Formats: sequence, structure tokens, C-alpha cells
Amino acid sequence: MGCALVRMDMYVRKKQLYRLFKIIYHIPAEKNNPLQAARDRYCYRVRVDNMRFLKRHASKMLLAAAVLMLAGGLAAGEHNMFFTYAIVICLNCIGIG
Amino acid sequence: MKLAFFQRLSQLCSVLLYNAYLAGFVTGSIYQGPLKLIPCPGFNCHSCPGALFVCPVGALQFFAAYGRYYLSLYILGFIALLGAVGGRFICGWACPFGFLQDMLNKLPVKKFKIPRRLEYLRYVILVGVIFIAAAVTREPWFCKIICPAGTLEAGIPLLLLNEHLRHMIGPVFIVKLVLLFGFLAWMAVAKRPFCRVVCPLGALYGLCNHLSFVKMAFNKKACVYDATCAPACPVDHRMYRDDPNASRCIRCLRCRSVCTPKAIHITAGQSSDPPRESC
Repeated sequence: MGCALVRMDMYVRKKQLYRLFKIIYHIPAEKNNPLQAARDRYCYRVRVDNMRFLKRHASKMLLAAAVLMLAGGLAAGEHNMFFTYAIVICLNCIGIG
Repeated sequence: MKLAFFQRLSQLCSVLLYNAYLAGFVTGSIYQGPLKLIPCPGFNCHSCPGALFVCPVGALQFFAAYGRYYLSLYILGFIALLGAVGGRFICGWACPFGFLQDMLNKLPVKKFKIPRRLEYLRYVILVGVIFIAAAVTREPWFCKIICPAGTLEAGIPLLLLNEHLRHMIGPVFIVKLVLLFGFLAWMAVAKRPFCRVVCPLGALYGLCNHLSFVKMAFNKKACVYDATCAPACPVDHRMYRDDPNASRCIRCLRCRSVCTPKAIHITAGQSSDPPRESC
């Protein structure tokens, strides 16, 4: 029982330490080097903005890609290939091919 | 209740629309008109006597096995187009095989849960069987061995209607028949097993769930965590615990209809993320 308690305590302490490190790592060194801190903040903002932009416009990009792929497939005559395949009974599909 | 009725109606209409060539069921032949140029949005075998559209999974495999290049832009573009609009909504609203699974799951037998890890198998089937195995061996293995829709919708009716085809029955058909009955039994005891574990079309639509124009959104503050949405979900998705736009969700909106505090929403054309905090 005691051993388990000690382990639990260690686990909690580890968690707290981890949280502390996380906070330390996210605090930019403003006092020492304000230019570096500003640059870090800017880079972080740009990264977040890029991610948000991608997330916001993902559906439009997917839609554009889909239309392009459809057009490309039609231009390459893929639909005619499928047509010749789809109008005959597929023996593979029914399990005797 | 209204929503459930409309969903069933939509599923039934999709079954009738995809298989509207009724003359095929009398003559034992298949439709050969211009609609076969269009892929079917749901999982429906094009060798079914009534099928009007080409099966997207069969077409993808055909192209991987016999095409000039291995990926069909036409079929992938069609799937991405539907996926970009509503993600996996086709699975919930317009898939004949999904309808069959929902109906079989209503049978009063003991139910079992499907392990979450097994759900990754559909990606293995999509990449491994549909693309790689078909391209390497030049054989459509999914249609040939696995696909229960082909056996149920095409194999059994065509063999019943055509005597000359009956003489060609071999061990592969027996394997397919055993697999079909295995799947049917699984559908009775688990919620949508084919959609969640095997369906490569669902896997492709599921990839679009995060990127689609219409998305699901979950309000954590409004939720009372009474889990009323859990038993209503046909794919065992927990809206209050899991990602609301996970690839598992088929967007049938059952959870939304049973959620009394209205914590589940549909968003259109915007990110489901919380608004940006000011620095």
C-alpha cells in the first residue's frame, strides 16, 4: 500500500514537473533577448495562421482538387474505359470469374 | 423520430434509384445504357440486374489492375467531390449496403461490440487489396473474393435467372457465399460491421470528414454527459468523448436528434474549432 502511494506521489510530481517544464519552454526569453522573443512570437503566429488558413480553406481546396481530378479523368477518357467494363456481367463480382 | 424516418426513406430511395432497371430482374441481363458512365455514390454492385451506375470500388480496382496508370482520377475525383460536400454522409443516407446493415441489426439477437482497432482494417483493404494487390497481380481481389455486395446483388440473382451461368459455379463462389453469410450474421449481431471494418469506399469518404464543407460540431459546455447519443449511433461513435469529425462518423445525425441539450451541431463552411483568442 505504502509503495503504491509513493509511486503515485512520484507520478504526480513527475506530472507537475512536466507541466512546469512545458511552461518554461513556452515562455520566450524576453528579458535577455527581446529581439529573439519577438522573432519567436512572430514565427509561432505565422505557423498558427498558416494552420488556420489551411483548416479554413481545406474544403475549398478539396473541392477544387476533386473538380480538377474529375476533369482530368474525363479528358483522359477514363469514363469510356469504365463503360466497356460496366456493361458486361462481371464474372469476378458474381464469384465465377 | 422524424429524422430517423427521413433517413430510412432516403436509404430506401437510394436502393430503388441505384437499382431502377427493373427489366433486368426479368430478363437476367444488366443495364447497358449511358448512365453506366456515372459512378454510384454508395456501395452497389454494377453487375446487379437492376444497377444503373458503375460501382466506384469495382471501377477503382479495374483501373488499378488494367488501367494505363494505377489511380483513376475520374472515380477519385467523384468520391472527393461528394466527400468535400458532406464527408461520409453518403454512408448514412444513401448507401444500400448501409441500409441492409441497419435493417439486419434490428433483429432481436444478442449484440456485440466491434473493437476500435479493427476499424483500421478498412484502410489496409483500401491500400493493400484495392490498389497494391490489384496492380501487382492484375486481379480484382476485392470483387473476386471479399465483396459481399457482388454475391448478394449480382451473383445470386444472375445465377437464379441464367441457367448457363449456373454450370460455371466453382469453389470461389462457395467461398464468396460463405463470406456473405458470415457478413450477414455479423451485421445482425454488431452495428454496421462492414462499414466500419471492411468498406474501402467508406474509408475514402471518411478521409474527407475533417475537410468537408459540412462538419459536425460539439459544444462541451452544453453537454450534460448522460450518453443518450451513444445507443442511437449506428457506428458506436461517442460524440462527447471522441472527435466529432472522426472518420468513423457516418453523419446520420441520429445523435443530434436525441441530444436534448442540443450540444451537437452541424456547421457549414466554417472550422469547427473554437474562435481564435486575442494575444
